[in-house]
Parts: sequence; C-alpha cells; structure tokens
Amino acid sequence: MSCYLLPMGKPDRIYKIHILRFDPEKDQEPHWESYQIPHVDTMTVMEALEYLWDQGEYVAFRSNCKEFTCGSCAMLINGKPRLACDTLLKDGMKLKPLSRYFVVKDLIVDAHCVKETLSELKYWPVIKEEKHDFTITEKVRVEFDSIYTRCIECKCCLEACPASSLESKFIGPMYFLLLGRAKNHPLDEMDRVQQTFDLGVWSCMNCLECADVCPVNLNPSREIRKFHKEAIKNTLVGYFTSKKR
Amino acid sequence: LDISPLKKGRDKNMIYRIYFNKKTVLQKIIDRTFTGDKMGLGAYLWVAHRISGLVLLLFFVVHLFTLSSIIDGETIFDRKMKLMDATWIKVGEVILIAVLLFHCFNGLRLILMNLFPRSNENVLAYISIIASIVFTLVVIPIIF
Repeated sequence: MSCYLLPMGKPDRIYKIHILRFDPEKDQEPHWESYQIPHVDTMTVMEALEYLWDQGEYVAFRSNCKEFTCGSCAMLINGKPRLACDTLLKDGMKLKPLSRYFVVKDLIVDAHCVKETLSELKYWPVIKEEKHDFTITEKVRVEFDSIYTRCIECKCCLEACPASSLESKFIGPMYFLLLGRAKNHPLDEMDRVQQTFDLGVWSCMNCLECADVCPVNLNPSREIRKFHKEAIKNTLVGYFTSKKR
Repeated sequence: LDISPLKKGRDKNMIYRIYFNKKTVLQKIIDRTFTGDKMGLGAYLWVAHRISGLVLLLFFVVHLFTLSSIIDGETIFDRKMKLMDATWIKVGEVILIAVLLFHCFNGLRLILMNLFPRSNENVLAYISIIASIVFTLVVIPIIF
C-alpha cells in the first residue's frame, strides 16, 4: 500500500473517527475502535485511513484509483454508502463495511455474489439472428455516453436501496441500470420488460436513495421508471388489441 | 437466506452478515434517520404514503361502523350524527382531509413519475406536498 504523506507540521485540529473492526480469525463480534486523525483541509476518509497505516494501525480497506473511478473503496460512512476517496473527513465519522456482503476483514467485503448475479443476468445484448446492418441513433449514443457507460459498479446504490435485501425479490438499482443498457442496445432482442418484471422492478419505492448516493451522479431510479413505463405501455397495448379481437 | 457458507466454516462471518442485514425497509429508514445521515425526501414520502393509506383504511372501517347504526333505528342514528358537530370531530375531519389529499397527490406524483421517467423527481415531490397543504387550507373554512 502506498501511503499518503500529509503535511502534519500544523494540523488544523484533531478529528476523531470510529471504525467498526472485525477480523474473522480473531474476533467473536465486530467492535468499534476510535482513532485520532490530525486534520488538514481537503482531507478525505481514504487519506485518514492511509494516515492510520502510517501510524502502524493496519485497518484493512480496499483502494485502487483514488479518483472515484474504480468504486473499490465503497463503505458505509455515517450509515450512508460512499466512496472513501470521494468523501471529505469530518469529526466523529463512523466507518463500517458494506452490510450486504461477507466481511473479509475490517472494511473489506467479499462481493463475489454481485459477480454471480451479474453472470446470471444476461445484461449483454442477446441476439437471436446475426445482423450485420444496424444503425446507432444519436439519441442512443448520447444515452450510452451520459448514462450507461458511466456506472462504476461501486455497489453504493445496492447498499443504499431500502427495497432490496437478501429476502426481497427486487435485486437492486445497479442491475436495472445495466439491464437498461442492454435494452437500449440496437441489437438486443430479449424481452427486457418481462425480465425486469421477474426481477421485481415494481418493488422500487421511488425513494431516490440510489441517485443520492451515486458517486458519478447517475439516476438508476430513472432507468427503473423507464421499465415501469414500458410495462404500462405493453399492458395497455395488449389490453386494447385483445379487445379489438 | 443462503446457509451454504455456514457449512464451509464461515459461521462467524455469517452471524455478522445477518446482524446487519435482517432489517425491514422501515427499520432501515428509522436507523438512518436516528443514527446516521438522514435519507432523502422520497423515503419519508414512501413511509408517509403507507401510513396515510392505513389511516384512510381505519377511517373507512369507522365510517362503515357509524353509518351502520341506521339499522338500529332513526333515533340512534340521529344521536350519532349530532356527535359529528363537535369541534374535535371537525378537527379530525381536517386531519383526515389532509391525509386524504396527501395520499392522492403523492399517488399522482408516483403515476407521473412512472409515465414521465425523465421528470424532475424533487420538483414533483415538492409540488405534491405544497398542493396537499394548499387544498387542505382551502377545505378548512368549508368544514368550520
């Protein structure tokens, strides 16, 4: 791990942060530990964790790009899922690992179940007959540029969503965003409306927590509502066409 | 719950996972409200929508119960209807109308959000709240 060297000569003030630590090898129960961090302006949570490593306090956490592009440092900060590299440090902050996954150690979670769900989801374009001629409209291109290619799969929206849990049918906002991408692909021929219906798309509460926590300002709730609209449209069309018969 | 990890000797971890996870939607919202960063307006509107729905259901039962007294005779029914002129009943009516209007406008907001996915969610939320307050204020002089 590369350590961030802070200008520690004159810290503005000393901040206290609380971290929920748990080592499956040693601990029976997770426990809170408090640490003092000399605060400097524009210090992020990740820099505070790196400072702890400098001091010999090896709190386990994930980090890669440090510029909110990889999404690997997602954790619960004051109960809200955020990226550690994208959150400014405040006094009394409480850090916890994401709650939907197994804890490997401290703030690291084993999110392989997300990969498993993704592999079952068929979120790539499903093509029944091979086509060589197709056109991509400007609207689709803009939507891919501004929405679908920007999701960093940080799992923050999955964590924040109150409607999705282990027991619920609703799989989570991120997956619906990815399915929206597949649906908008010009070659995709799969019935995405039926697929999303099976995945519990109507359980969305429209609470917009997913949009609130998204570090890249996406709105998965809007994608879910596009599926709602499609489902309403299909139902109405089906109803009126069957009446005509 | 998938208990296969328990068999692989990861029971401690599993307990930790359940400890955090087995919460209802309402519990999650209450937790966030009192112990962490508050949730957005949409989550509270979701809770309010359900509570207002239950209040309306309760009113429906009380309403049927009151009207059913007509079976017992005219005098009993008239006596019950006289009770409706009491001030606390009028206040209750105003609250009931506020709840009803909130439920209606919030439902309308949800329908509009589904029919127009690109609409601004916060603007619609504020419009539904303001509309229910304004219409309640309009109804107050009619009731009293």
